[in-house]
Amino acid sequence: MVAVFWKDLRLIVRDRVALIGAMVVPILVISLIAGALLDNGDRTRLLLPVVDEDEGPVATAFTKLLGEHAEVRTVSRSEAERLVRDDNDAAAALVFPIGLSRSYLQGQPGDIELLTDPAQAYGLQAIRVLLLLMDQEAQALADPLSENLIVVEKISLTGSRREVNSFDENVPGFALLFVLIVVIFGTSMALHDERDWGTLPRLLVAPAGFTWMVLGKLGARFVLGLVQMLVLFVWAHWFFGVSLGPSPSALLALSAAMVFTTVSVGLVVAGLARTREQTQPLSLAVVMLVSLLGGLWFPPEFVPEWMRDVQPAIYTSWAMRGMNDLVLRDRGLEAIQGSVAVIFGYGLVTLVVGMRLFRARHSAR
Amino acid sequence: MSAALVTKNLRRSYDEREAVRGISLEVNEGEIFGLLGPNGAGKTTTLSMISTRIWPTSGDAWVFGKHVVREVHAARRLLNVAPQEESLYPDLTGQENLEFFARLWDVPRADRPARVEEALEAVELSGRRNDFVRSYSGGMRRRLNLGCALVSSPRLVLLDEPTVGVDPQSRVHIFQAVRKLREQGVTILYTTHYLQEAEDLCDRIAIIDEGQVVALGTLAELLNLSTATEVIELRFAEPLREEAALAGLAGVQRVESSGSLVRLFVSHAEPVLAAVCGQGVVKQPIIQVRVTPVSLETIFIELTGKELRD
Ligand SMILES: Nc1ncnc2c1ncn2[C@@H]1O[C@H](COP(=O)(O)OP(=O)(O)OP(=O)(O)O)[C@@H](O)[C@H]1O
Ligand SMILES: [Mg+2]
Repeated sequence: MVAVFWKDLRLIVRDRVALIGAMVVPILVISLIAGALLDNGDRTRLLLPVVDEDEGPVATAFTKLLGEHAEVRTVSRSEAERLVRDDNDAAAALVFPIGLSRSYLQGQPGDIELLTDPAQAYGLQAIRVLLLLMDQEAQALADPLSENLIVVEKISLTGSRREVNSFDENVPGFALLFVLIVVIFGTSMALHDERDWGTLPRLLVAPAGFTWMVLGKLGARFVLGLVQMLVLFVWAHWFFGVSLGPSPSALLALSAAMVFTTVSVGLVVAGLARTREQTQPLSLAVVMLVSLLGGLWFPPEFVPEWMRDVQPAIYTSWAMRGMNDLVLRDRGLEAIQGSVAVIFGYGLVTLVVGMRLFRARHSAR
Repeated sequence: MSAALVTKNLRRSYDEREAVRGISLEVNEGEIFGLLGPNGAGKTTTLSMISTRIWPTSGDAWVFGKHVVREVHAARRLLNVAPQEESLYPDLTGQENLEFFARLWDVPRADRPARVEEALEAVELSGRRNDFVRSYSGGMRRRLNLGCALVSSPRLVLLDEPTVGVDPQSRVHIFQAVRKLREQGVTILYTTHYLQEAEDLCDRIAIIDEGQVVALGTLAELLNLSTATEVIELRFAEPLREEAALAGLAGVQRVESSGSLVRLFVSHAEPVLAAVCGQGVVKQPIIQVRVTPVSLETIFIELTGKELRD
């Protein structure tokens, strides 16, 4: 096993370009994401062209309300179409049609037209939210009681930190996502290497046997994944001030458990795939599923109810929970022991299953 | 002399197809034993069962008394194999490949440099030891493929068509390496579909066809199997239609025809030749006549009815 382990590490290290790529690309992407989050605070306001064909009081009131949240520009219909369709400056333009004020004041539903550019999904989403807001505020004007009068003071119950920034909320999730991608793809493909090189027949008759050979390969992938994950965290810490929690050993334990289980998942993928080519769509599917359901894509408060229900079944959610304990709640090793144990347990089961699958497929008995 | 390898009624099926149908062999320690057979005869399958790569469907095999299934780990330590397909790491150097396989076969650290050195010398690759295997020529790769099987100092070496696709010079290198192994007392099981190799290199030969041993013995013993002593090869302009006429000639023991080539197995060529050429037994024009003594090739054709060609 040790021989295979060192041989694989040597091959990994020897392929400089791939190695640097594996380290640098995630760092770059994380930096980009962090950069995007950084912009979020003072980003230029949303442009919303408005075509006022109504020219009545309702359209005027709505335009004013919208103006508090977005940069509203009253334009002609053709100008609005140009902004949306040709220049793509705005995700959508709003048209208050003729007669809107009259029907609205009579209590009848009025149609508002939205000229959209479906390609700008985010902008569109934001504008939809704005419209909801507009509707709500218009009602609130008539009904002062619905206004939100309670002010919430933030008191952290779970740790010493009062405030978390958007880096702390988002970067660990993306870091985990990257480790997932690189480790699952890397492991599942590496396990097919020996077959492609034609060295599998020799390895299969080596005294150590199949299981140890596979474990040696997984070991090399584990080391690579762990180094990568830690490099990523250290980078996020130094350059973006992401908190890594109070305890390095806790971070290491969590990272090790996460990478171990992810390597095992890579083995399962390799076991399910007959060829190296088949590992790619499978890896992609698994990465997407595990990261999405595990809650790596959004901060926890955005996770819908049903997803919260399935999360305990997904090991990455435990990793995310652990990361949140460390990063957001500033807790130490004892707080994440449970998560680490659960992740590790998942890893062991996955390893056994993966070994069986892979053995059934590749050690022709 | 003790037996290095014993197989008893080895069988192996892939799905429905039976690739090996009861092969029983006894290979003595220190001999070069040839498995000669056409493509698909079951040579690789047999070797794979002996090397413990696959389990037999039924039957048994022992390597120096160790059963290949029940004592698989002990058996593995005693043998090594150079697979038919190259089995090397292109991104390691020749030496690193050897070092890796030495380590994989648990060669003690202290012995490794010497073993690697010996293997490099045996396959004459010392000069290219530090080059990446991907920069090797095909013949050099085949030699390294053999070297990797020697680095663990096995007592039984299984070589699966080690000379396929190599130039005559590399072939000579490989032959020398194999003979040197025999001098050191190593037992070699050598599969090939080249008759010449079997004749030149092997102490004993088993001819296998369709998963079965059809003949086994030394070259001399195999040649004695035939009651014929000479073979007349007749080439016609087109496939022969009058085979019966030839078979009926006095002195012809057997007729094998493949396309426009017809072989007559005879005890004395002269009278038969006279009959065929002089008396016009066949009407079709003959464009070439050749008389050869009985050889492994003719024996092979006699036994299997098949040509052995690439
Ligand atoms: N993995 C496999 N799955 C299914 N059939 C197989 C497999 N390996 C070999 N066979 C079949 O078993 C038979 C014997 O194959 P084998 O490779 O042992 O022949 P061989 O004598 O080594 O031939 P060659 O000279 O071409 O190497 C063939 O009919 C082959 O199609
Ligand atoms: Mg073969």
